[in-house]
Amino acid sequence: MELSSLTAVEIVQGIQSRVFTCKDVVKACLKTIYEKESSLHAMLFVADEGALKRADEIDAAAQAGQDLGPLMGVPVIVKDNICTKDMPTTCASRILENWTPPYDATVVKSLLNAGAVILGKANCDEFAMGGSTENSAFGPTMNPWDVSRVPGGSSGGSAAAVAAGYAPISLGSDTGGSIRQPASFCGIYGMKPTYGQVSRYGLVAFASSLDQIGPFARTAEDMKLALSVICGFDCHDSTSEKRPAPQFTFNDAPLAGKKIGILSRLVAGKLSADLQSCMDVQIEKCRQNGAEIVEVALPKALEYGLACYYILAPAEASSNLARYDGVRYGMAYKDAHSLLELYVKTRAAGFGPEVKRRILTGTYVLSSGFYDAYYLTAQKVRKVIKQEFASAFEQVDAILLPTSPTPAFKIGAMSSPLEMYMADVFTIPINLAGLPGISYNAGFNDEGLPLGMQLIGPRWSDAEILDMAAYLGKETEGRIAEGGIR
Amino acid sequence: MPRLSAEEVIKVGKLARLDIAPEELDSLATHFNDILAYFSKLEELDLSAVDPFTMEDTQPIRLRDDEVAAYDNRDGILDQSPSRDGDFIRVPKIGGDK
Repeated sequence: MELSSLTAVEIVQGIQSRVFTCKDVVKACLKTIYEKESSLHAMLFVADEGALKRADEIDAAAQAGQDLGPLMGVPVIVKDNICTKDMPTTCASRILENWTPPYDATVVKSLLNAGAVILGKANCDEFAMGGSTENSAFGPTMNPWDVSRVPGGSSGGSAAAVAAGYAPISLGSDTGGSIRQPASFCGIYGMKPTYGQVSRYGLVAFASSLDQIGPFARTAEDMKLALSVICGFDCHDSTSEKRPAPQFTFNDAPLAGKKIGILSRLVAGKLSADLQSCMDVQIEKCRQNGAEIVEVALPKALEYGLACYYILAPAEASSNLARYDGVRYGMAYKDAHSLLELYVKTRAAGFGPEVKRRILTGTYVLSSGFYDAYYLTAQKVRKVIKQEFASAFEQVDAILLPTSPTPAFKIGAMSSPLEMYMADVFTIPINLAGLPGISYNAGFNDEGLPLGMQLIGPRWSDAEILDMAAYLGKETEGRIAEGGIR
Repeated sequence: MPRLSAEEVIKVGKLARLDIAPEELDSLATHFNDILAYFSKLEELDLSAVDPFTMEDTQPIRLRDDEVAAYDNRDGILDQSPSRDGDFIRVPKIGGDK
């Protein structure tokens, strides 16, 4: 039995029934990381000593018959834009290269309180800005199914790590698709919960009205476990909502009697052939399992969502990233003669090209004389998109569409930033409307690359869409990517 | 939509407190103009009757009580500064820039 390929559910059972120890599991996961990391570069920090020490504590508790929680002894990997007290948190940026936060993010605390072992920090696009992990200041992550391809992004390291068997669960963040798209490229589940469902306290802010933390896992049961631990109210995040915790349960026939919305006319011509046929098969599968298929119209979301997002997200980012100034933490330009020089030179040296592009775009659209033409217009479009989804969800229980227009593309294939932005067309509108979305694996193309489909539901339908995705993704779930690793 | 000149890009950089190196300028200006051209798509929409989105459209804004509490990792914060000086953070002189 390969311990590093076990699911979280199997690990908890194995440790509690003393079939193996937490240390055995952690050692096996670390071994997998060391074997594969030179091919994948999914990690920015591996907490080997800390994880082994924590494993000893968990094993002592298991020995004493204690139950430490639903993730007892489960190795988890955390995206490097989520604060961890004992580990660096760089956001894959030079400007935070040596930064270790003085506190744990609420989700990290929740994981630890549930008995998890944090194995390390995952690579990502710098400050979560990108769709391929190529924007990491420390080098790209490779897709474990084909190392000549990207794992998606921005949470590409988190997705690749779970797909490759580094850990059964990881956390990412999703501002415009940054969990769902890498999940689809890496053949696993990835979910952006409803805005307000999971605390972002300790998530390094990118675009606060859109950011959401969520999990990756190879099986739906592990998704359920992770979500049940991280969902919930937190007074430290003013967008966190006080409401009953979602009850994640799996039904035998979750699609029976459900109305599933599709966008076949709107997505026609936007998809690669393999995803088109994948979508057709999935629609048929929904129908065969008792769902009624309804064509819904989201014309503005798909046509104008991207332009709207690429005004609003950079605007918020330009404000959120103003805090990196070389004074309180992170990199500082050494020979500054004035405070202004410290600011401008630190930021020039510390930020990479994509982050600079977004800060400049955001500054411009918020600047005097242009605010109405860009920012205010985009906020109106956001309202229209939100209303469009509200009307759609009067007709249907969930919407099914591909997560991304294509499977994982080759490293370096995107010739311009704008071309890269276009790949977010199916994921961005969900963030603009604050909805939950989940990507599940719906099969593989002729080259063995995973094909991801996305289910979107109304606000607070997280448990329902996970239930449906679990059913639709059951056939191909749980596989460890071995394909491209040398 | 306007096209931005190199000088205007530098001016935006100043507003963003971001020094733009001469070798970055061309690619930044090109990107800027490409993305602004793309944004002009939104002009196709008639938004005259639409109110802008606010966070309250999603959920009510909730503020927590402002309570004073001791923080146990003061040094953990101060130590992160690149120029900590005792209980202070040293910065270069303020003002005098054009």
